[in-house]
Amino acid sequence: MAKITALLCPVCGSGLVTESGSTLAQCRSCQASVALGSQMGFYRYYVESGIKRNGAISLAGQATELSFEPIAAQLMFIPAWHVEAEIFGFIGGQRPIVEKIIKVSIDEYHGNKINEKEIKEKSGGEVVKKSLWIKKDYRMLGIKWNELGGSDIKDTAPEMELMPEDAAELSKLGLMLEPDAAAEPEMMAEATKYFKGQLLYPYGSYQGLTSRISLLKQNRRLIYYPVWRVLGFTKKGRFKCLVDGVNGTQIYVKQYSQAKIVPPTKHLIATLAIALALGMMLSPHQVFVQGWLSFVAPFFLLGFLAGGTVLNRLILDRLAEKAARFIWKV
Amino acid sequence: MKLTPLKCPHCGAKLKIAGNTVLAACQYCGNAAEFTGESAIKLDQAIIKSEGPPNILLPFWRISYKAKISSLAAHAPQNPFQQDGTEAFYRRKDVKPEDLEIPSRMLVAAFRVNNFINYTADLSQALSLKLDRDLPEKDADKSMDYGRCYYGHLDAQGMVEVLLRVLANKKSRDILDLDFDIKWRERKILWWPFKQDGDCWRDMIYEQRLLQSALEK
Ligand SMILES: [Zn+2]
Ligand SMILES: [Zn+2]
Repeated sequence: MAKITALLCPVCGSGLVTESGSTLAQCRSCQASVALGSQMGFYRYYVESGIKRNGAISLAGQATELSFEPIAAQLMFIPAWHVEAEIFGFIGGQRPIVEKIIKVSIDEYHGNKINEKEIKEKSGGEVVKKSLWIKKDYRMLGIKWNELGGSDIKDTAPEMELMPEDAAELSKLGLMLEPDAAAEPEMMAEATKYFKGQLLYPYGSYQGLTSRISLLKQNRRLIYYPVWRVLGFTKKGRFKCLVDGVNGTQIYVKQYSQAKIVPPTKHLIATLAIALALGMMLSPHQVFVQGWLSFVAPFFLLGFLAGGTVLNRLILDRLAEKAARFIWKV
Repeated sequence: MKLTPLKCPHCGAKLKIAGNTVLAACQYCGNAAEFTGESAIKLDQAIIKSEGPPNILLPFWRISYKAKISSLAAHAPQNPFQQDGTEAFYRRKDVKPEDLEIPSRMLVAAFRVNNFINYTADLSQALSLKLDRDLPEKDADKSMDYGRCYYGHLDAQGMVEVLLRVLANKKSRDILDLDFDIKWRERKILWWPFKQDGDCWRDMIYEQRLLQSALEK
């Protein structure tokens, strides 16, 4: 795989060095510090694909026991959100009031028998007001694909070596899938809800709980993670496999069954033939009146039907498959 | 992607800033700048004068603002020790926004402590409550330990928003749910003097304590 062109210093044009995931880069020759601009408040990074095209194809082939004829292999970059933050918040509320029944023994003069008395005791109810501070991160895939449901891309992507993303250069390597426009505010709302939940978790049973949070040291990232999409055919039909571009695991495997293309005429002819045969059986006289042709017609039609089916098997299915392959290749 | 070379906002020279740095001094003119993630901006700073030399100077953001209460709700707590069970609630007193004293500036930590992170919130809160007079300041020299600065001014503003609620709630028996409209004004890094005192750092103006182990790098 062609290595992405290194970012160039806007001052002198030499290569920039960045630490993985850092928002600053340093020029090798003129020493200038360069801010890597964030788009929409997000720093964008990508993870390099260690798996090459041929590797992806052979890994996809291992997903089926049948002989596999590859047609296309495409590198895609799947977006994954990652928000890291310190959550600083104030909570105020009242600890729940719990009523307990305690048995207390009482001394009595009569004999050695110990008598017990039940006392109700209330506890809790203290007013708690304090500031809390935790550090958490939130991860979410930028696109909603059922195929990626079983993958752990969102969890592993932030742990990888992160390269600053240059959209023009990255799109030369593969197909960059963009999160939809609505996804960012939606994701931030989800993240904030998650952070708040993490902070308030121990206080769920409190009464009159009020809380406010601030997100400090926020680090918002959009990470493009490489995934190979391999398409091909086995003797059972079309075959599709998604291969993790970093560790080569099969994220998603789908074997489509053979495409059956049935000309509508076959059904039409069969219906006509059955209707005629039924008509002859139920009221033969009315049918025979119209002459010998009506007697021969159903057999002729049945013959045509059988012939059509054979023709369909031999030629049309082949043609349909060829057409499907051609479309997939395009 | 936008690549912006960082320039000193004081003299225009190119800046050399290490990754994850919030504040840095210019190598040429010595003035300090804050890195916001996009660019380097001017930074005001001063050292609080103290009697005798401090062992350590810790950075705080002093943030001035105008805060107006935009909504206020009060929750009166239940009394758990009411025996007769008739009147289980305290009679609720209405709280008026005018009754709440809202400070117009606050001191919040720009440094981070390692093992007891709530401590910075407590210290900020305690010092803010006492920040009632102007303390004598002097100009920061060129050998400040900018590596100690961890929170930028935007984080500091976020801290102020939370601490304003903490402070308002301190004075009330009810649980107050407040919303503010805040207009931010000047901000400044104040280097606060601490001296070593046994197992803690003691601030040299208000005698506030800070665990020494919390600051070890
Ligand atoms: Zn350069
Ligand atoms: Zn300068």
